[in-house]
Amino acid sequence: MTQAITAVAHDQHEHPPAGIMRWLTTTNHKDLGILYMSFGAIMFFIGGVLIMAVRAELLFPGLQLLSPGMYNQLFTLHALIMVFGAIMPFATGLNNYLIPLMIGAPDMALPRVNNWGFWILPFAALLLLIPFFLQFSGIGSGASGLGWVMHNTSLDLQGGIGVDFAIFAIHLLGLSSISGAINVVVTVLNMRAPGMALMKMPLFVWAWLITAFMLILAMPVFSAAATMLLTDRHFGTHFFDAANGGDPILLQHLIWFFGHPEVYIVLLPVWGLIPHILATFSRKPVYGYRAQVYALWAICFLSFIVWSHHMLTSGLPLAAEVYFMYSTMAISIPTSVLVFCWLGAIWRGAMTFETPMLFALGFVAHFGMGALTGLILPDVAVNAQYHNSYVIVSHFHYTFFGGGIFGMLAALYYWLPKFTGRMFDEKLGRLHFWLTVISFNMTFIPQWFAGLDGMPRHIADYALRFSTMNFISSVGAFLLGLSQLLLVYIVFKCVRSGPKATGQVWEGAQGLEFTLPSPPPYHTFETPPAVK
Amino acid sequence: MSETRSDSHYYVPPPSHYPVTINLGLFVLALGFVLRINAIASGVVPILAGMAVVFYGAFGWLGKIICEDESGNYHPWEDRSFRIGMVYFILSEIAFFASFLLALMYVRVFVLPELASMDPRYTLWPDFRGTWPSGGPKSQAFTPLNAWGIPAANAILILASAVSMMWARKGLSTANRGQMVAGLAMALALGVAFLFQQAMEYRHAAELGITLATGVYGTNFYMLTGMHGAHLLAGIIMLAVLLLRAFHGHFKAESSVGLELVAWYWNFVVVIPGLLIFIYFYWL
Repeated sequence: MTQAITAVAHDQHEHPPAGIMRWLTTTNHKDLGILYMSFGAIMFFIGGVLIMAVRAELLFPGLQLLSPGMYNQLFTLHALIMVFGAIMPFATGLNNYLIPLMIGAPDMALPRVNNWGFWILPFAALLLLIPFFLQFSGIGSGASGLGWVMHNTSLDLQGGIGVDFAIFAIHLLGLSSISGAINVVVTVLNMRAPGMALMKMPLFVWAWLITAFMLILAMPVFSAAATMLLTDRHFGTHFFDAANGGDPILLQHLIWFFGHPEVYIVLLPVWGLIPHILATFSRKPVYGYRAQVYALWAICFLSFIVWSHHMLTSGLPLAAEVYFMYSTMAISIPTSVLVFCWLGAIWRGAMTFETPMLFALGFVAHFGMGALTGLILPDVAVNAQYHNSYVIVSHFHYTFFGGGIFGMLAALYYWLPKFTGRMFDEKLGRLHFWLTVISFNMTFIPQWFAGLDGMPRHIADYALRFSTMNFISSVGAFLLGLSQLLLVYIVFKCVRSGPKATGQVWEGAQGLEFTLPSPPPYHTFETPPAVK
Repeated sequence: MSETRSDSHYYVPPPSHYPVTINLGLFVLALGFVLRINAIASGVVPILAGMAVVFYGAFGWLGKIICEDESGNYHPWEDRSFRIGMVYFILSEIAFFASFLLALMYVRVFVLPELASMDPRYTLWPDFRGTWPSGGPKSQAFTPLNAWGIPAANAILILASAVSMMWARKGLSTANRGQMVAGLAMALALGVAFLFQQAMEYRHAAELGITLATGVYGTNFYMLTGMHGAHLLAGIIMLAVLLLRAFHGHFKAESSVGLELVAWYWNFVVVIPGLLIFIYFYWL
C-alpha cells in the first residue's frame, strides 16, 4: 500500500506522456474535447460519403449503382453514423472543452470516466462498419439495413449479422452517452466557481445540463429495446412477436420513447450556444436569459410525453392520436419562446456578419423552417399523407442539418480561434457558408415537393414523375458534400498558418473562456476564479 | 490523511490507461458475442479474452480509486462528485429497469384488453382468454408461478438485506466496526441466498412448463428476473469488496463514500426492482 501511495502522489506532478499515449490515457478535458470534436468531424465525412452513394443511385430513376439491400445498408449507416458518431460526439466535445472554462472549473468532475466515454466511440464505430466491409469478402449479409430506429422491417426479413453488430454498437454508444451525461451533470452541479450561481451560468451550460438529464433518462430505454431485439433474435424471447403474445408495436414505443428526446438531445446544445454567438455579434447581452432557461426545461419535459407522433399511422386508438397531436403541438410554445429570444437578441443590435454570425443566422432561418414543417406533421388528419414519405426526410434534415450542423459549424467557427490560438480565413469561411446554404436548400427543398407528391422514403428506386426533383436534390447533395471539403481546408490553414488570435478573439465576446489566453493553457482555473 | 483538507483544490487524476483498456475488452467481448450467437463456435475465445481484459481493467481502475481514497486524495469536494455521479447512474439504471417493467405492463394493460375487446365472432386462437397470464397463440401449456412460495420468501430476503445494510451504515456512523462488518456480511449472505433461491425457482418454473417457448409470459419472467439477477450478482461482488476493505480497516465515519454508494446501489438497483418484480409479476 505504501508503494502505491507514493506512486499516486508522484504521478500528480508528472507531465502528460508524449505521442499517442497522451491521447489514449489523457484525463484532461481539453485533450478529450479535441478528441471528441475530431472524431465527430471524421465521422461526419464518413457518413457524408455513404450518403453520396445513395444520392448517386437516386440521380436517375431505375437501379444503376446499388442493389436495394446495399441501399438500405448505406442509408442506415449514414443515419447511425451521423447521429451517434458525428453530431452527438461533436456536441460532447464542445461541452468537454467549454463547460469547465465557462464555469471556472479545473476540469470535468470525473476525468477518467470522461476518457472512458470517449474511447468507447471508435470501437462502437468499428462495430458498425465491420459487417459492411465483411460482405465484400463474402462473410455475412452486410451491415444493418433497418434504418436508424431499427424497426423498418420485422425481425427476420432483414436480419443478418449486421443487425447484431449494430445492436452491440448501440450498447457501447449508450454507455458512452450515459457516462458523458453523468459527467456533465456532476461537473455543472459540483464544479462551479464560487459566485457562479445556477442562474448566472452561460446558456450553453444550462442547455447541456438539461441535455444530460434527457440522455440519462432516454438512452437506457434504447439500450433496453436493443437488448430485447437481441434476445428476440437469438435467445428465443418473444417481446415483439405477435404469434407468441408479444407486440411489434412495443418496439416502436420503446424506440420512440428514446427517439423523440434524442431529437432534443441533438438540438439543445445548439440552442444553448446560439445565444452566445448572436449576442457577441450584435454587441448586446443575451436576450431573455430566464425565459430561455425555462423554455429549455419545458422542452425537456414535453419531449418525454410526445413520442407516439412518430407512430400515428401504426393503428393507435383515436384518443391516443389526438393526445399526441396536441402534446406535440404544445412544444411549439417553448420553441417559439426560444426563436423570439434569438430574434430579440439581434433586434437593434450593432450587428456584424462574421462567419460564426452567418452560420448562427443560417441556423435560425433553417431551423425555423424545420420547426414550422414539424408543426404540421403531428396533425393526425394530414399525417397519413406525410408519413414515411420524403416530406419526413426533408423535415428531418432541416432540423438536424439546418438546425444541428449549422449550429455546430457556427460554434466551430466561433470557438476555433480559442481552441487553436489562430484566426481562420474569414473570406473562405463566408464562401463556405454561402456554398452550404445554397447546396443545402438545393438538396432538401425538392425532397419536400417529391414527398408531398407521394415519393416514399427508404426505397432505392422511384416513379418517373419524381425524376426532376431527385436530379436537383442529388446535384445539390454532391455540392453540399464538396463544399464541406472547404471546411477541412479552412481548419488546416487556420491551425498551420492563421494569424495569432487574441484572448478576447471577438470584439463583443463575453464569458469566462474569453478571459483566458488563446489557446488556453493545459490546466486552467486550478484555483477557482471569483465570479461577480 | 497525508494531505491537509482543502476545498480549493480538486484532485484531477493523472493519465490512466485503464479506461481505454476496458474499452478494448468491451470491443473484443462484443465481437465474440456477435460471432457466438451467429453459430460461430470460435466466438467463445474472444468472449473469454474480452471478459478477462474488462475484469483486469475494472479491477485496476477501482483498485486505483481505493488507493487514492486511502492515501487521502479525496476531500469533501471530490466526495460530492462521486455521490452526485452515483445518483444519476442509479437514475439511468432505473430507466433501464423501467423499460422492462413497462414492457410487461404494456402486455397486461394494453395488448390483452385490446384483444379481448374484439368482436367475439372472430376466434383469435383456441382457448383465448384476454387475461394475464397469457403466452399467446403458439405458447405451450404452462401453470403460472405461485407468488407465495419462493418469490415471497425471496422478497423477504431482499428486504432483510436492505435492513442489514442500514444496520451496517448505522454501525459505521457510531464507530461500531463489529456491527458494520456483521451488517455487510449479513447483506452479502442474504444476497447469495436470494440468488440460490432464484436458481431453485428457475428449476421449479421449468417443471411447470415455463420456458422461453411459453410466449410472452416466459419471456417476461426470464428477462425480468435475469436482468435483476445480473445486477444482484454485481451487487454481491461490490459487497464482497466492501467486506474485504472493512477487514483491512477501511471506512471511517467521515470517509465512507465507497460503502455508501454501494448501499445506494443495493437499495435502488437490487432491492426496489426485486420488490417491484415480486408485486407486479408474481403477485398481482
